[in-house]
Amino acid sequence: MTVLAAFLHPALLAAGAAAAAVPIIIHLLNRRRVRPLDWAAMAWLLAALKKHQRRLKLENWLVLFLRCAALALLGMGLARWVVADSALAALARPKRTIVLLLDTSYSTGARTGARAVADRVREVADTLLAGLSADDVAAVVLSNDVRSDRTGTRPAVLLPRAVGRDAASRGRQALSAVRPTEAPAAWADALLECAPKKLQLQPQDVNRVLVWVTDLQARDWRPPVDRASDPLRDAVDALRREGVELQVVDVGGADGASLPNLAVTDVALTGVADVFAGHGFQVTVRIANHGTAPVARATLRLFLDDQAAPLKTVTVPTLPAADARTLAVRTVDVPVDVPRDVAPKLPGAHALRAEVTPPEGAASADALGLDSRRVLALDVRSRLRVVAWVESPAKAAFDPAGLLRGFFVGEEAGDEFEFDGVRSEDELRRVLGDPARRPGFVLLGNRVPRADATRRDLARFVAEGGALAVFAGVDFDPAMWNEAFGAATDTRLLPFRFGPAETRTEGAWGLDFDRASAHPMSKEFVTGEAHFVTDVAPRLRGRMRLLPPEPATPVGPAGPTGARPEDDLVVLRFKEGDGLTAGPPALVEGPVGLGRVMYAGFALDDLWTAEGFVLFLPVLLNDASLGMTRTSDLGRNLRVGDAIRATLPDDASPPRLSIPGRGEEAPTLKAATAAGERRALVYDRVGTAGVWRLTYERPPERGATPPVPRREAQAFGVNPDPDEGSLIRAEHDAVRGRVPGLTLRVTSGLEQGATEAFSPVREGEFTRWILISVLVLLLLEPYLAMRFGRHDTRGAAAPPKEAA
Amino acid sequence: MTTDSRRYLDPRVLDKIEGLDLKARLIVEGYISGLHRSPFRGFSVEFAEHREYVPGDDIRFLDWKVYGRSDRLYIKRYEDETNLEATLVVDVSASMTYRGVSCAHTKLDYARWAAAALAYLITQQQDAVGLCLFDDRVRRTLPTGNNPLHLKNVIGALDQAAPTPGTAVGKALKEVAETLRRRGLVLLFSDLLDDPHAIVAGLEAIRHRGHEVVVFHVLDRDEATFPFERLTRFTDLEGPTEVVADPEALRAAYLAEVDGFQRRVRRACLANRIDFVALDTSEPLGTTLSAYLAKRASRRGR
Repeated sequence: MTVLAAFLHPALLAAGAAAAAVPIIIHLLNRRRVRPLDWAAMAWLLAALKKHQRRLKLENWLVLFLRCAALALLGMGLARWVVADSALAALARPKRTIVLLLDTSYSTGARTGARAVADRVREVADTLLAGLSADDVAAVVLSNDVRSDRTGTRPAVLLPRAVGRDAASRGRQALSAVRPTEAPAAWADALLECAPKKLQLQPQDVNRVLVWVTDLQARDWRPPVDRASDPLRDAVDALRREGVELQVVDVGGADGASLPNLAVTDVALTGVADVFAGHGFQVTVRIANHGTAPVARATLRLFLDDQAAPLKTVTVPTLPAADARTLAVRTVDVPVDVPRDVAPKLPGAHALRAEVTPPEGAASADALGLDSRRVLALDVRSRLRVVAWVESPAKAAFDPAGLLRGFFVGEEAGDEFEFDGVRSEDELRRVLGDPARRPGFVLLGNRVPRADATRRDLARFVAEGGALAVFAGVDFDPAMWNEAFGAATDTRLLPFRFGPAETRTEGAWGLDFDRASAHPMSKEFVTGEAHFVTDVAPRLRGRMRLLPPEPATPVGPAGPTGARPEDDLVVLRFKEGDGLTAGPPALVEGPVGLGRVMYAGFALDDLWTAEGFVLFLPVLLNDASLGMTRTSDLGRNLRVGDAIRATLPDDASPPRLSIPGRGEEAPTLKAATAAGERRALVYDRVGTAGVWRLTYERPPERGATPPVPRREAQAFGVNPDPDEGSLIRAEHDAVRGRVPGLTLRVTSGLEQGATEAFSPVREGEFTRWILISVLVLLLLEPYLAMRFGRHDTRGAAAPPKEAA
Repeated sequence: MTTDSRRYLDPRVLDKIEGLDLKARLIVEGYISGLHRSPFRGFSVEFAEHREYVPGDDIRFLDWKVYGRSDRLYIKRYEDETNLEATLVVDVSASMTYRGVSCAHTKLDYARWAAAALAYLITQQQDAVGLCLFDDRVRRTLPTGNNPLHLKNVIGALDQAAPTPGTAVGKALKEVAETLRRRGLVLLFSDLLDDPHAIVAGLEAIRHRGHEVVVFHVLDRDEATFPFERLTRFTDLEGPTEVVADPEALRAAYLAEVDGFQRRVRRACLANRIDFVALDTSEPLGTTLSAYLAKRASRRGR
């Protein structure tokens, strides 16, 4: 038997030891301060001394010992003596410190019949709290913050340190808030949240036990990829170092018994980036079966916005079973056509919702409803009006304007575009100023506006959200472009200067996308939508150089400074002849004001029809026109826990954010910090799956009749992590192997008295008994002192008043 | 007696009064003279009258001769004798000079007052009073007398008695017994700090000579209660002995010794028909004396 003793306040122990010396010191001091007295009845005194000397000495020592012992014990009591031995500790009737770590991750929403795992979590916690005695200490931590305005991805303290009945009542009351969140549990973080310091546990809170109530999802207990770094084990070790014993309560059911689950893991447009109002489209819905048995004849339904009736209902092919050991899931992609008649009729923010349900009579195949549906936010577009002012090069074999018209509105072009070809600056200005003919995309082919009015109109067009694409032309004159687009402040559309252009009549340059650029305008093409260029891989014969802007000339948003090397300005690069060296750019694109601008360092000429090039121009035109005019297709679909990011036009009213299940909020906007920058919204408390809508109003368009504000919306599709749908549970042995030393219990064994069973006495604090001993000594001392004649007994032997 | 005069009987007040004779008169006139009958009586008696016996009368005073003649029971009644000879035996040893912590006078002072008061009282009754001062032996003796001048001498001797070292109460009492010729009353004022056997032997010696004895045991309140708390060096008033002791620890044992001593002396007094009166020097002398004298007077009346 090992008896380990510790004092919670060692300083008080030392003080007690010092205090124990006080009676001795007083005794010694008293001996030095002898009071002289002439005494008559010496015979009686000597007789008393002679008879009782030995007993008096004994009594002296006894009383002195009692006084010293009382003070020493008092110090020991105040120092809080803790004995770490089970047998001795049990004698001390010690208090317990129970920290409940409750699983509130999404998997606790899984149901078997009418009961969810979360119900069992609450029951276990309630039983344990009900078993607290008056001296016990309790705290409750949730693996996922259940507050509705939180993402649920972080742990949270539901009940900090509380004592006794108060802990029981407050804790049980707080348990009503326990519900499944929509995020997976980050157990390492949750364990760290249970650290005694964070829960404000006191040194006297002994017998600390962490009761970890979870459904033991297999994914949580998988060994780490990097064996050297294991946050879970580190967190467990940290708690053990703090004297916390861990016990895991498995509320998931029998050991290793997993619940089946069907999940929609992805919904995506097929083949297109844009959906046009009134146009049909196709989506692909990916469905996973996380159960260990295949599921046949599940049903997939597709809903638009808040409509109760599905757009389409599809029977899903048989879903293969998941591998219980590796958790590998084989998904099935289900293509669904959304025909024109049921597709969104109006442009703007819409959302598609895909829901999978198990076949009739097999409802148990889907224990978790949360991931059985998934939303896809769509920005449904109206038809794009394209205006092109193109000069045909001399001796050209074909008219570029005709080429463009054929591309945008030709027989095979579909009906997403309207096309206007203008032949002069004046005509261009008229189109730009006509609300009825107002374009979304303006293309200047081999032309540069010369009139200031045209330049101003173009600049205003872009600043208000229009898209402008400029092709340099064969006779490209950089000085003229710099003057046209970069000289005057009110017409500036360039954050850089054009350098000299080059063309090749033979051979070609290849595009190189391998090197990222620091140029802000490079972003769109280097990431995301640039893939079409890499897929086609054209060979170009024209190129030009972008130069840093004049130092004295401020540029647009985050423009490069003159100190940067020229390479940093490169967006799309031609490879030099050896295919290794990066050359100057040929194509740049980026935002200016509310719109976007693209400059191509080459001409619209016959070369585009040459072999090897023929595919590139249509792709470039399609993606440039749609991509540059797309409101935004980035960040509209996100996961629970991600942040909603949006930018708002300068003229937008204060927005409202509609949150699924919570109503509306007025989110805080981040003001623009630079000219041309938009107000931004960053909302980082996204904890609920569903469609979130950001709505605002803008002033009426110029010349619009009647002049009513435009109501605009941005929809955001929020979904749970598609990788988290597995409800496959870890086996107890696997858990024990993952964190050796863990004690596992199952809920079926949790009954009355469970609290004591869960917190075996390891440490006992003897303070109570020590203080009782002090009290006894303090009572005994005067009694003995009185009995020994040390306290006042005057008059006890007073002579009788009367004669005998 | 007036309330005002009683006020002077408090020892603290007596302390402030100059002159032992005045103190004695104050004590007697202020308190004791309120008694209707003399508390002391002589040994020679003179027949006064007969009275028919009633149950409760002392049968010692039945007149058997009258009973033999008339077959009726009569009690003989006597007039008080005035030829009482009382001797005040006062301990003037050094131990009598002890004065308690909270007391303003010594045991000797208290004994002087009591002796002087009784001398005054006895003289007032036209009886004779004598004086004997002793320590370890008899130091001074004044024969009995009953005139005012004699009383003045007695009180003067009491007043001038100087304490001397050494006590031998028993031995001194034997000396006293030998010096007293006529049977009379012996009033002993002492702290009795001597061997109890010797004391008892001395008292018995006096008693055997036919004297009536009253022992006034004079103790300071400190000696009776031992109230000291701090460690104390006790120095014997009558010798070189020194003892360092913790009074708190010793109190119970000491008090047991005192109690044992008093019991033995009392028991011996009771056996020899000696009155034992404990005098606490912190108590009003008049109260103590009058209580005793009243009791004695009532006893005599039966």
